[in-house]
Amino acid sequence: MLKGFKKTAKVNRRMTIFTGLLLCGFAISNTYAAKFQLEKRQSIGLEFKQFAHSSPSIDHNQDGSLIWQGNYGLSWQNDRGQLANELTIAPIIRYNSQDHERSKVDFKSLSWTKIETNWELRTGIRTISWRTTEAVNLVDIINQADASADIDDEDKLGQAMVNWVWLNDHFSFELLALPFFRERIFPGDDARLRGVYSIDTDHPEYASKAENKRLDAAMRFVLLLDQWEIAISHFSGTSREPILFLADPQHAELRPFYPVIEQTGLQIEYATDNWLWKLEAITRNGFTLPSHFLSSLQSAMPSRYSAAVAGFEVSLPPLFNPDYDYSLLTEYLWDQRRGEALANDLFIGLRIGFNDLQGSELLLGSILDLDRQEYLTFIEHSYRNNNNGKIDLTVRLFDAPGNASSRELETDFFELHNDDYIALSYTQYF
Amino acid sequence: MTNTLLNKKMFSITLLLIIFIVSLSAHLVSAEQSSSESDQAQKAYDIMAESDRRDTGWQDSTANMSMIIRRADGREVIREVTTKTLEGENGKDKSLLFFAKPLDVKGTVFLTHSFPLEADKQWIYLPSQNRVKRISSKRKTGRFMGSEFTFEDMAAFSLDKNNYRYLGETECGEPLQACHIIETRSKDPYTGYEKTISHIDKAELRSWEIDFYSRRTGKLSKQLRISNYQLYLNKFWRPDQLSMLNTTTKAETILKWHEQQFNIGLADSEFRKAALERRQ
Repeated sequence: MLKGFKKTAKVNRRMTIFTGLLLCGFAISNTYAAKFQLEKRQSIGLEFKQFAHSSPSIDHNQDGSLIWQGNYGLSWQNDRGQLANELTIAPIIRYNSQDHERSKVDFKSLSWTKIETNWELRTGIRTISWRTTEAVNLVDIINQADASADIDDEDKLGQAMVNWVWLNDHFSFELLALPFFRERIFPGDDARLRGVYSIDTDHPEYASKAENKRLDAAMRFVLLLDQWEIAISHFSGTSREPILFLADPQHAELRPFYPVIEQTGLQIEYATDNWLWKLEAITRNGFTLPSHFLSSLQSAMPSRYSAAVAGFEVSLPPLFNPDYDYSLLTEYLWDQRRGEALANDLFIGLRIGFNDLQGSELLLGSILDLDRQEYLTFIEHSYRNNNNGKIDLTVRLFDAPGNASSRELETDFFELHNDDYIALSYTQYF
Repeated sequence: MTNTLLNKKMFSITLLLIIFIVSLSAHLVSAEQSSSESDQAQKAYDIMAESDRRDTGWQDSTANMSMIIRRADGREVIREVTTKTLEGENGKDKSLLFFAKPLDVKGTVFLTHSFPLEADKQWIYLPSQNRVKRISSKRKTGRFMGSEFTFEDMAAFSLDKNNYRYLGETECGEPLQACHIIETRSKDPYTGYEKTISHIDKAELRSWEIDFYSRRTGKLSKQLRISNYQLYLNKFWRPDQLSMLNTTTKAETILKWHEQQFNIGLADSEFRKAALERRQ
């Protein structure tokens, strides 16, 4: 259990020292005091998961987690009374009853931001979201995903960075230097919601000779034009997404390989009346496995590929109850590598806001693989039980054609077809 | 024979004459009516324009707002937000709402860029997802934070987004004083209201009562009572309390303003979408 803690603690220590040094430098250069403002958010949550079926390899059908999160912000103004500096500390501690990989101590943010009218310097550990669409986010690449927390990749690990932004009312241009690469966290061997093979996260392989010490870089240009928002970004560095390869066919174990990639991303959002039109597209070069890692199960990968997701979100007129807000979400997912998961998929979702005292919300959605007739269905329901607590109910159902042993590496959800689950969580805010 | 023909001719001429006179007088009457109609519209517009003019020049403002949302069965919840508003030219105001309570949405920020005629632009920063999302701004009729106020009610006033009509005079306010009765009809095709009827005092042009008529039913659906007006910077009248009653469900939302401040010197750069993205 403590193994996971130790490993993340080691990474954290290095990042903390890095940030600590920056903060010291900052403190020396800003000894005067101005108007301070302190903001805090804290929550403690308890989550319980019940799996519908037993797994052939794992003996438990339940899983419990305890999560504590804090967010502390200190900001102060300059002589002209304008917001000039911001310090943020956002720790997260998670303990999982079954899986040490799911237990962690991490910082979502530990950073200092220097704010001027037309530029900002954001330094330290931060979480950056470059998201437009709902079903998947292709462009969002700065932070590593914590795949142990959930399968939707929405849980991110803090990333050390120096982020300089030049901005005005109509555009922003930013440059990012990203030291200290972080490995993806996968569910451990004892955990549900993992694939057939276990993943050897202790022996990752890197394309870069500097391994996880390579300094990565990114830039992004955002244009705000009337009802349009257009963003072009480029990332050059160690891929956050690893390629999992079979190192030794005798052992049913996959190892992560982190290639060095060049990824250019495009995001477009257009708002009109009740409609929001969304597009995310990437073209990625270098996401390949070196020939010496190739096995009979894996064929050579193209050196460059593109992928895109596009769709809309529309608010519907009140259907049954004029107090409810209804929105329909539809997105099409495309990947040039046709064999990949989510290469020809359709996402359809319905979000209902009940506008009641509890702030109840319901999201029903399905991702359908049009090539393989598989689907993932989810229901997310949340409501407030008083002013300080929130209840979340999540159901995920995986459906994949059974008995597809020869295809298990390529189907979207086959590896999870036994892992239908219902999760109930209670979060107390204070 | 000729007599009858003549009579017939006379009859038809008389008939034509009558028709002509009737239609002419009808036309004149309607012209008179429509001119008084447009007079009433102009009078109402002038009052609203003057009221709007008197509310310009405050530059920017900050305030704390609490909202008590009460259902007919007595259940109630309290929402708290802090607001920052930047006055723009010709109704191009910008505003920020920082949610403080309930605690699960603490840290959520709502940014609005208002425009005099076109649709507003709105973004929301969700701390749970650490993401800034665009909101389709035509969602006028949605309830604001689950209250009896809709997004339309909370939007910045924009003179030319509506048509007005002067309906007469009455007494209203605290203390009771002479008031105008003005009907407002939104030009927005997505409005939730058929019309609203406001009671505005003649002296300071402050709204004290507004009745809302549903577009769906055409009937009275909500009543807003505005009270505790305070004078800021010796120039600007602002209420401290607004209470909206749903006349159908009897549910009520009371909105209270605290610590209203004006002309502070807020920076335009705080109201950029990118300023939301800086948040962690």
